[in-house]
Amino acid sequence: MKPLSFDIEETLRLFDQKKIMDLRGISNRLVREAALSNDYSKAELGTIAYALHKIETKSHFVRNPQWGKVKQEISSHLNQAALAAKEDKREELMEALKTIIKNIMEIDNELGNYAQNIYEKAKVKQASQAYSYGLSISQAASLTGADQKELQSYIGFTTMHDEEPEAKNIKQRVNELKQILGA
Amino acid sequence: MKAVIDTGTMITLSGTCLMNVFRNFVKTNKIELLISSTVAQESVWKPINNKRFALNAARIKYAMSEQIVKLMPMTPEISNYQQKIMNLSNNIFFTKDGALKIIQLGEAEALALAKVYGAKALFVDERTTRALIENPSRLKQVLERRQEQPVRVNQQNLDTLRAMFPDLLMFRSVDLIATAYEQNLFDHELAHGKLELEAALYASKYNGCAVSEREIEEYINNSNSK
Repeated sequence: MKPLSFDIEETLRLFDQKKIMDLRGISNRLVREAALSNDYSKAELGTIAYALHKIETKSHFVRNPQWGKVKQEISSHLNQAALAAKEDKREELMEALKTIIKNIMEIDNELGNYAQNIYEKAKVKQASQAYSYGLSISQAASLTGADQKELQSYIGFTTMHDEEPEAKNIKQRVNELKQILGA
Repeated sequence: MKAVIDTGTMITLSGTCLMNVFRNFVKTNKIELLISSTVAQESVWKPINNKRFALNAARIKYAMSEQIVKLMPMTPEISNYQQKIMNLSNNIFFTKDGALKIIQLGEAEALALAKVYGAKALFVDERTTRALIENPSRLKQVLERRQEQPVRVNQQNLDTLRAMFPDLLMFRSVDLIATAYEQNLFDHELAHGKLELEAALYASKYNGCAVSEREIEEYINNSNSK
């Protein structure tokens, strides 16, 4: 597992070089590692990387001059975060990451077309990954800060539950339930 | 009969608008259905301030005020069991990076309630908590496949955890809905028909209940009524 400072620098490099799909790739790796080690900072960086990936895929964002300015600010905050992570300054690191999230949410409020913020969607998307790695739904939601109801609903529309057969099927459970109910 | 219900199942039932079926099921079968303070927090008090989720939360709040579910306050005994369950559960599966933290306080509290009140059933829609008690070897396989690395099991912790729940049976919202259907309890919400049953089971799946399409189809196809 790479140190967080390395991951932040890598995210910054991919973001600056507009390597959109690689941003998504690093986001997935970060969430996987966060799920393994219960690392909330990695999960947050993974969610940020995913949100940045989404923004960079939207032409109405990237063509807007406002995005250029915000992008510079985000790069600068990623630099600060990397430095803070290297020096093990936890508060500064979290502060820098929070500022990036604020930047993303503000630009999304101005330029986005949906009521639900890109960052909120990123939290749900990446929490669903954590769930797929075997965490419980509330543990996965807590890792990225996603809302549990939204996460549940998101997972419901994936094929995740079709891939892992249950120990007992509906009929078996219904029979057990009726038995203990005396029905 | 005493039973405990987890946040996810409450959310699924309110999200599918099947609260009347749920009420009929609980009242007809005289179930004393307990929820923990964390479940109330996660399914009512937190989402009720969010306009997107407030209606669902209000439905659950109503179920609480109607005594369909009974809110159990946190006690030192529940808290002790909750901590014990958290510590055991989150120190069972290990990768080379250490212990996998697989459950949260809410799920541990639901299990603690089941233990303290001697519940016979736990309604839980998400797969990890259920698999932990019911079928941990399958959970290990899932963890290994998903994490693409070997997972070591602390057998002592696993045995201690499972020994706490020798007779606890686990059910999902789909199992509750199917049982309600078989007991002819869809009244006041839906007609008693295969189409309605199928719609209700799929609504539950799409609200996040861990059930496969194959499982639903199998059940529907073997169901006797029209």
